[in-house]
Amino acid sequence: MTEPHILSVEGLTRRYGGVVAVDGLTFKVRRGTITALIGPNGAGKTTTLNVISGITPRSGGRVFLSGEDATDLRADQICRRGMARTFQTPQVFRSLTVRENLVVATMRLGTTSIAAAAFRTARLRKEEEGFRRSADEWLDWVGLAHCADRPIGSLSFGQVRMAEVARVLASKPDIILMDEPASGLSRAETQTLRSVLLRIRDAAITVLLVEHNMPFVMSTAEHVVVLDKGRFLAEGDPAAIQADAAVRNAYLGRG
Amino acid sequence: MSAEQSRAFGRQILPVAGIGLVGVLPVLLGGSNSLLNIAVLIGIYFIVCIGLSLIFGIGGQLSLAQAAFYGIGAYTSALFTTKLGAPVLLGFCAAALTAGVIGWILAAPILRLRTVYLAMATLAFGEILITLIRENRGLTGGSTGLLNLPAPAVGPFAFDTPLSYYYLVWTVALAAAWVARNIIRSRIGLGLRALSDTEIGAASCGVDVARFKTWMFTLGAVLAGIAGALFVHYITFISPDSFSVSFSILMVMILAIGGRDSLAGALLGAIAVTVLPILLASYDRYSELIFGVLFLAAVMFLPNGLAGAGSSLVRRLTVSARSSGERASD
Ligand SMILES: Nc1ncnc2c1ncn2[C@@H]1O[C@H](COP(=O)(O)OP(=O)(O)O)[C@@H](O)[C@H]1O
Ligand SMILES: [Mg+2]
Repeated sequence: MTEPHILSVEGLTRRYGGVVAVDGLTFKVRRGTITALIGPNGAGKTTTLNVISGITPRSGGRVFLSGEDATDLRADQICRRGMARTFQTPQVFRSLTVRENLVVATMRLGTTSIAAAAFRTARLRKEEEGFRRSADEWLDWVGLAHCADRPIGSLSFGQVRMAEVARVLASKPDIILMDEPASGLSRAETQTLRSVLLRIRDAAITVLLVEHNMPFVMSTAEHVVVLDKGRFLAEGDPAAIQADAAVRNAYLGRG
Repeated sequence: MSAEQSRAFGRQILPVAGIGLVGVLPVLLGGSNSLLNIAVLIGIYFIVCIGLSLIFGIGGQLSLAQAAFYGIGAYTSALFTTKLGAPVLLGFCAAALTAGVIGWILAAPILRLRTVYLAMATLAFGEILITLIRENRGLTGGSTGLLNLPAPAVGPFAFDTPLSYYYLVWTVALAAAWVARNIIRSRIGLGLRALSDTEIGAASCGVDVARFKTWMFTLGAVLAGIAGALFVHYITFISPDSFSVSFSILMVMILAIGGRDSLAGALLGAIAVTVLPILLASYDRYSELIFGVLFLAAVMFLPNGLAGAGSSLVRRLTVSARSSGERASD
């Protein structure tokens, strides 16, 4: 734990044909903070998360997790290193119940031996019972305990977003990436999300938050990184960013 | 009894009932050899479809390679027993091993493909295999095949009657169903369903998508290989006709009719495609037409197959029974 930065991105680049979605981006995330990554539509925020989390290959640059090189790892390997994420469009498992969605996310914990599963060993049964119980605890944490046995497709959009947050927690991550978790939420749901985020941080889990809703970002994050056209534009605490002329230009310039 | 308790009760009672039924079925069939033949065939289809329901029904990967692995298993055992004179049970083991190893090697490159591309690639694999079998006349007997395959035996006891073969096939089928059911219920089973919903979501949750697919494809190959070997040593001859692409399509039809996401679906589908043509045989020229229409109707009106229709019927009955019970107690 000598390394104060849990995530460090150096010169990250991602091209799509002629479009440079992320262009030599460098930034760091301090352990135990809520850090926001903001920028106008199309700035490259989602692409940045996709490359870090192993969903999209990079064109250049490096990614470090707690000082260790984590460049070019697959998404499931990144997850096993203790990083979990949510998606701008929730990627939940429609054929499973809410609880089962969370149990899938425990995959990096315990054994996944096909032989133990095939013969349903006593040890495996006990372990899986524990994962189901811990799934229920996380559902309780976000206020969805009453939905545990329901198919996730039967939940409202706000509940699906919250279930995805609970699913991320079920993997016991050290750092969570969230892509616009407040989009599509009602005012009340956004309040709940904020309190959940603050409790996540208090549980010593680092959060990297991509978000459009500025009041939400400014009242939740303690550090803000601004991206424009794939490039690093500015960083600082929320007050400094709100006062920054270049940041205002980037937003106002495009409506 | 709560819903949770009744489900647990169902989980315990169903396997026992299944084993009991398999045990006494020959008595119910009056020992008729032609009916036992049908039951043997259903068991063999069921074994193949257990594998297919893991890879396709649960995992969502449409593989048309089942006929190829069925053929690999069949030819491996046939060659082992006729050319090398190995005991048939050893031939069965070799069949499972060979199909499994080829499946495992093939899995990595082929399972990168998805949807219709995966279907086409697995289909092509089957076509290549059939051609190899037909052209290697010296080894496989070409289009004529090999005759006089021996029956499996344990010591002095030979499985050479429909009744004894019935018990052999269904012992394998029940063992395979037990293993598959355990996998489906496990966290690996949940991971498989998850990756069939969204691979990106599953991978981000720590599911090693390629490894999970490889396991299921290999297991499916092993089961198809064993089933193929069981089949040819029952009919005592082998020819490439039994392993054409139409067999793979028949297996997919079984899951479509029976229901692709449960083992009960695989079983009901296997019964349907075996028994229906026999029932329809009296319509002679029209039998295939009627079968086709029934298949179309099943796919159109029973989205979750016979098993899905059955379980929603049971659910409706228990709900109405419960609510009428509540009314009575009011
Ligand atoms: N899969 C893709 N193929 C081609 N271009 C893409 C793809 N994903 C993103 N882009 C482009 O990259 C740029 C950044 O997109 P994105 O990362 O989604 O921005 P943000 O999340 O900040 O709104 C946009 O110009 C977008 O059109
Ligand atoms: Mg985005």
